[in-house]
Amino acid sequence: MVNAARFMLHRPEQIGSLVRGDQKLCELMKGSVQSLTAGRVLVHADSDHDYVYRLRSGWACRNRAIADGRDQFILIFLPGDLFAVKSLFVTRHPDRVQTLSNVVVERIHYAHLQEAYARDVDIANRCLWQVIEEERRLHSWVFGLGQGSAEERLALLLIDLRGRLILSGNLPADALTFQFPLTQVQMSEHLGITPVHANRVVRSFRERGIAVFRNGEVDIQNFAELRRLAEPLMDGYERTTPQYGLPGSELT
Amino acid sequence: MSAKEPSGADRSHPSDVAMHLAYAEACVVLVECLMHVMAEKKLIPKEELVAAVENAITAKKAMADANWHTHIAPVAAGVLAQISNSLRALPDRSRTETSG
Repeated sequence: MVNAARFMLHRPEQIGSLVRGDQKLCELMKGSVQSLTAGRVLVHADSDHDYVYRLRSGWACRNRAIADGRDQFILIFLPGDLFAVKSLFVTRHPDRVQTLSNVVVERIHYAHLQEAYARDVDIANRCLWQVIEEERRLHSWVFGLGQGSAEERLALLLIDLRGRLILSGNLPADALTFQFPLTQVQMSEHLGITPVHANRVVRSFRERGIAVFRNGEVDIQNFAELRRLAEPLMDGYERTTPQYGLPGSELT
Repeated sequence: MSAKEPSGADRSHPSDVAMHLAYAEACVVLVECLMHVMAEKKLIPKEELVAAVENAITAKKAMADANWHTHIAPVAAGVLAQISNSLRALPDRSRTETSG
């Protein structure tokens, strides 16, 4: 689980502390492992919740649904991510957290983590890093939703997911095919477009030989073109990190 | 987006309600697809398509405010808002043309 590369490009002097914090969290969460099926709600919207989680395998997401039927997938969590870290500081969670695939998670009660957080700077750094990393992802995604076309958003999503899976050691560095458990409706709810529009973009990617979605997997067929489409929405960190592809990089 | 089936539907024969809902859903999907085709073929600028949908949203909200279809109109406005946001994410024609 511990992989220094995933903290890359963050202040070098922090890396040791972040890796130690990760290991210490593993110890603290030992014995709390649970296997859950896809579609299971871990945190209910607008409810009190006492636990912080780490995803060991599978995908989960945070989403917000409103009374008129609209639903936005806010963040996607991948293996190695801590989530519901806000339980440390807030009683009530405004949004729902649910599993997107079968998952294995571990968890820790907020009071137990609070005590460790106050006692051990490595654990505090690891928790804080997750919040900072989430903020970076959210800033990129807000920019994408406000300024990006549907094609650019989907390209960014694929570049981002692949890069994160490689950084967390869940995918080989040259992999172009990976598990993609989102349905087209869920994908549209993350991309901020309708299912009809998502279907057209997916079809267009397939017809242009960029990426093909099939049987719960995505196969990137033209990485350079995908990277070119995503480029305007990528932040400085992603643009300079090899796992997200460098400009003009050819993996096909 | 939820995917609940209308209750009381016979597996071999859709109920009248299910048929009406299916036609309504098919209409929205069809109109949205046609809007995409019109934008792709550059027959109508996406801004005008968005304006048309925004117009429909205003009409639906006015219906809700006037207590007409009070349960359905706000949901319909939500569906239209999704379509409007989605149309905004169509490629910007001027940007596409400049980038070749």
